Amino acid sequence: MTADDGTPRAWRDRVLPWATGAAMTLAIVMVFLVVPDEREQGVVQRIFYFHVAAAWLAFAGFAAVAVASAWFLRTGSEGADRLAHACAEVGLLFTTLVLVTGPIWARPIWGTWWTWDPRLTMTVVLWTIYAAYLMLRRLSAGDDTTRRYAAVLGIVGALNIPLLVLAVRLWRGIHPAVMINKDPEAGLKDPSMVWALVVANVAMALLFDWLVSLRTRLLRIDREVAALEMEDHPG
Amino acid sequence: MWAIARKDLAIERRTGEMLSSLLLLALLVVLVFAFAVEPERLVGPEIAAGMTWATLLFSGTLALNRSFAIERESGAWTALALLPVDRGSIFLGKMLANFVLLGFASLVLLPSISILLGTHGLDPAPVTLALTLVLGVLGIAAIGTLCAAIASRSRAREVLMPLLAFPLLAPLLIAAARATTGALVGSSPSEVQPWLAVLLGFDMIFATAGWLAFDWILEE
Amino acid sequence: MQDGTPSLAVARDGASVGSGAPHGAALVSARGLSKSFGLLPVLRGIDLDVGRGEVVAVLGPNGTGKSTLLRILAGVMRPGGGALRVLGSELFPGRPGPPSGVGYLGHEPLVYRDLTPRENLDFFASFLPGDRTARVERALSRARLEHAANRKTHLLSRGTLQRLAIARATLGDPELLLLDEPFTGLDPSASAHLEELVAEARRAGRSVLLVSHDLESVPRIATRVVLLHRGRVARDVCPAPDPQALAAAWCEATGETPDVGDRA
Repeated sequence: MTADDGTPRAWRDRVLPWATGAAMTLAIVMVFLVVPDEREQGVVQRIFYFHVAAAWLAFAGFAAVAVASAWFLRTGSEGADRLAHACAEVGLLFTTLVLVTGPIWARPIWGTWWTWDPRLTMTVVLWTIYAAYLMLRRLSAGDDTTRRYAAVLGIVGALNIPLLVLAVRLWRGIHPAVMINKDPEAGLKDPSMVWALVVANVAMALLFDWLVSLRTRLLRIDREVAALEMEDHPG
Repeated sequence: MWAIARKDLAIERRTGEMLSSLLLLALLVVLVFAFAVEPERLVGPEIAAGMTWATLLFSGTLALNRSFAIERESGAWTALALLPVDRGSIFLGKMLANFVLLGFASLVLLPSISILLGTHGLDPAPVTLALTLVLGVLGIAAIGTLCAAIASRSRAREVLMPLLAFPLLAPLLIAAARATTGALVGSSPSEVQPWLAVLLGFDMIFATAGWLAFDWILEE
Repeated sequence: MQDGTPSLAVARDGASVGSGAPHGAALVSARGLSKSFGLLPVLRGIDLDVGRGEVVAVLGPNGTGKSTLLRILAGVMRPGGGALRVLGSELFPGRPGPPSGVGYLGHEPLVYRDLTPRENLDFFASFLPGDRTARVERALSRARLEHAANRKTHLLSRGTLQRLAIARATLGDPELLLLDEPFTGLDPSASAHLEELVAEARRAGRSVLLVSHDLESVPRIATRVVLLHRGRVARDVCPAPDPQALAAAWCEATGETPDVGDRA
């Protein structure tokens, strides 16, 4: 038995919730109890493990929207369409997480909630692209043509990302990257920090996968309900 | 492709709907900014360049909605789909017509905005300016045509069109505004070359994307 | 089947009768064509062959997918399933695209209201081979639109507009002409003109597929009648029976009385 998006049902219903819960618990334990305070930033730096993990997943989610959209345009598979829809929704949620956790960290460290840093700028534009994608789906009849239009937009939105990165970096200059390990002063000094980041990433990835599979199923059920209503009230 | 562009421009010449609404709207946007912020603050090349592109973006996306509204009226959309030509060339034709229209608008807007906001300190470099305008307007035409086609089917097309187009146009707006700022203070094309490169890449990517996507857009 | 007597009894099982291609290769060959709008199935497996020189009338109650079928055959709508060959080439294999040599007349006039009839035809003719001006003038005179050629399209009367739509559909001298309710809104003289056009196309070995409500005129112009009901071919009768037999067949196939002229 597989769900329509190709996920085995047992994986979605039995494994994913528990795995997500366990990984998330482990991540929380590591981030709050195991990892030492960062030397310069102090306790607030701990939010970064979830912030970075959410950002990666958001990006991966938007890549998944593009891939599922292309798949839909090639095959016309409604499962692919629902997958793209669900990935955009959950991707938007994760981008929101990034945009909320970012300022919480930035306020004490940079002294301001918001700056037009390239990453921030890019993230907020991405947020609007996928919000627009979901608006298109909401403001159109849910027929095959809407699905095709949404798929085109899903791909065009992804094509926009490299240009956006380029333009925003040229514009705002390249700020010191917080998480790249090249600078010995700025990197993750303690090995437990690296592990915490890995665990947080796995936990977020499982959470993402679980939410997407739930949303995909819900979208399918919506459609089945509509089909049943149609049978009751034909025409 | 040429026939479609010619047809769109013939309709526009006859009705003048898009160009007149575009220019009027652009003027209103400038007024709105001047009222909202002290006009004395709206000076300098950055502001003139930024205002030009911002007004072009606002008024252009709204005017481009018309470009597909005329196809939806009387079912001409279906007539387009019936044409025995590659559907990508239909996109290119409509994009070309919109490019001409927006290009014309930008030629009116840039000088008028510069005059309204004060011309002191400006030393325009014509080649840089022309390159920036052509590349920038081409990008707006590409994204605008694609988004107008996508939005044209929705009952909320007037709202949907800018919602779709503005985020996608963000890189273009950033690059075009910087390059125009450079052009207004006399920079040579090589000095604003990174921005022109972004614009060129943008145009090529989205003209190609629209050309390929129209196979799926035009079908029912 | 070519003996000229209406033979409803033999036509019971639909597809087996009259669906051959009596005059050489089939211009249209559809197998198991299906289409849903959202969740609503409109076509549920249509098998249909149209041969050269046939004039096929597609009849059926509202909402049985007649227009949808025509739009699919015209190449503007992708079928949900099934195989379709039009004029010898497969439609919708991978990349979509309309077949050339097909003329389509829809419910809407499919012309630009802000252009004159001549400009409209000129635009559509620019995608066709040959001398554009000659083609446009020929189409204008054939549709008797010369007097209105330079007027504004959105000011034309309903009947004139319909004549313009017919001129647009026949502009490329199509091998296959698809007419969706062509008689709606036509004055008697324009109706006669259209009937003439259909007869002429038939004599020239072209095929016509038309959707109609008008049981009176259908037997006059059609060589074959296909009755659709609930997205399937319910009857396929060749040659077309007289109006009374047609109405009887309609009742029998659909369990409803024909809604004659409800769109007029």
